[in-house]
Amino acid sequence: MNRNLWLGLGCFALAAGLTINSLLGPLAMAVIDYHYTETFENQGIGLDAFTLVFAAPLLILAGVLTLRGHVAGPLLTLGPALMAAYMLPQYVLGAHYVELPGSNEDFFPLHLGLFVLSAGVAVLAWNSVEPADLPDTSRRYDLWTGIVLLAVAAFLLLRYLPTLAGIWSDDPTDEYLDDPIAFWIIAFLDLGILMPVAAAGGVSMLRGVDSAQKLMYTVVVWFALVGPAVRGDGLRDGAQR
Amino acid sequence: MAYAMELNDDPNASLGGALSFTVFSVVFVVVAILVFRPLFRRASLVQRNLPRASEAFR
Repeated sequence: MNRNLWLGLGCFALAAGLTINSLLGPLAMAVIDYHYTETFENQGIGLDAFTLVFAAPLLILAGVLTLRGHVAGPLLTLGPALMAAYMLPQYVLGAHYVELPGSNEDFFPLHLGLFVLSAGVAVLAWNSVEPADLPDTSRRYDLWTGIVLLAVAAFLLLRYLPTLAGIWSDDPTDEYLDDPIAFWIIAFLDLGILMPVAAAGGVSMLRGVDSAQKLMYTVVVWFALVGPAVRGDGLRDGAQR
Repeated sequence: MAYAMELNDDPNASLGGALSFTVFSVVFVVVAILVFRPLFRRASLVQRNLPRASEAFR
């Protein structure tokens, strides 16, 4: 079997797995009871809804395009696959296992399996796209997409500055006090991985590096999904201060 | 997430935050569509060095 077939099947499997996880969560069947604070549980409900309405259907579309040999298939796959790989550790690490009631540890194999699958699908998607497959772009296109990536990097940084400033000046926000573990997990992922990747991609696009195109598509499709799914809390945090 | 918090009367919910992030999200989805549009514009979009899945069994 060729890579496209494996990737297409991986997209469908991941869409099915994420759908099952969302249906088992507090949004629908409430079979999985997370050891979450009220705010984090409400955010999980929103994420489950977003997964059912946007991420899973996008994975199916990407799978179909991939099976048809369309170069957009693997690139679109990167969005929901990386979103899942970004969110699944938070399902496990963001829980308060001792202080709050719940049962999500019983579903650790499901969450671990989905994480491995999402990471595998993302790697397969990344390796399926050769730079030569991508369309030639104008200098103007490279410039504005480079600026978009730098804006994403700046947004990620600015998102955390008010909360970090509050923590460092002993005046933390209510939401931080409500669930500091969740804050630090997400801040670590955003500022340690995503912000540097977006900044490196932006600079590379501005410099006209051909191989940066794949990175640019990856950051844009990832942020287009994760942004609407989770970024509201950051804006709210800023508004409250 | 912001709307789920608003609907569930979360103490950390903020309608203003939810609305402003909706505007932000719409803007970025439009940006994503503009970025991906060239991929759907050309006839040569089929990957050049990979066969279609259906051809793997020939």
